Amino acid sequence: MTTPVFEPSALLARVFDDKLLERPFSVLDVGGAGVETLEYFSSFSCRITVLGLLDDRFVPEAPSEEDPYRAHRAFESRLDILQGTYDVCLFWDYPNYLSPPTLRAFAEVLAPSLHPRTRGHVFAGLNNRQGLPAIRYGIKNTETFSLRPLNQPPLSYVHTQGELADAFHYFKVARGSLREGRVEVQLEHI
Amino acid sequence: MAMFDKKKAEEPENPAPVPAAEPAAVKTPGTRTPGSRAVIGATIKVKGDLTGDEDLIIEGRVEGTVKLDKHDLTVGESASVHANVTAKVVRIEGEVVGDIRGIERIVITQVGRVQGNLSAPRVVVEDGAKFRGSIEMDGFESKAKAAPAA
Repeated sequence: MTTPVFEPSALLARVFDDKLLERPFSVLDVGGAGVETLEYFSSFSCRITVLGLLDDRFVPEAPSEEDPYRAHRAFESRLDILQGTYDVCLFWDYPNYLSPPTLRAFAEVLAPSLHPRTRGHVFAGLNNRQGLPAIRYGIKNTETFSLRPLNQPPLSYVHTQGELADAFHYFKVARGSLREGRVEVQLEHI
Repeated sequence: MAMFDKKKAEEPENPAPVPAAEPAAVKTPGTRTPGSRAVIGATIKVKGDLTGDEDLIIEGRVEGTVKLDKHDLTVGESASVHANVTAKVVRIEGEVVGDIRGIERIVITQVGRVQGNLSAPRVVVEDGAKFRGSIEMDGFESKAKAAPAA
């Protein structure tokens, strides 16, 4: 399909450190099945679960006063394939497709699939005013992302690092790194 | 005599031998030439358990299980397979809902759509393929790279 470009990552090596990679581990990728990502993980003894939320642009309707749990139900239905808990969650830029209340619903439905040492990786925006382009990300290695620009409108809701930390209240932001309008964020379970 | 001769002419005592039929024309049911493939066509719907001793191409709809431990399975672009699948090499160009075990390899092409869990020494998901489920990786790639050359 499209040829990827590659960019350095400042934080993937911290998410996937030797301590994690030396033993069997589990990864939840909320996006799609990336060519480079699967190739990278094939070098390790691990289980990777792909939710495909970015493949389908899965964006449930936001909760409303009449139905405050409709986004929860939509996510529960979509996340019904999760098995046990995960050591790493790769969110990519998916949260930036969701309105704040829908993002909170996603974070709440996801919570039982995490454990006290779960790590995460996500892209935030530098601020709410700057749009983020639609990109399909992958992992080439722990130093390098693969990026495939998508022929789609910019992301609907750009969340800052602080807003993501509020929504995923069980994570603390371990580090943030700036890269062309995107903030690369490492999350650690509290 | 004349009549005898005429009859003889009509029904020769030693008729010319008929050329032997091609092997395919007298093939015993169930036997296939090596490398042959069975095809479930696009309009065919099958419910039940499929097993076999030859490669299989599915273009139609299959519900149940598919088990071809020593042979390859291709799920064609028009196919819809709602089944747990086992085959030596599984190549998916259409839709599969179910768990897939590849003895050697699973390939989901760029137009393939899979919902289920994958298990194989090598899994290839082409860019554009749709996949939702889990993959068990056993570090095959790194073991292969680390293995000393014979």
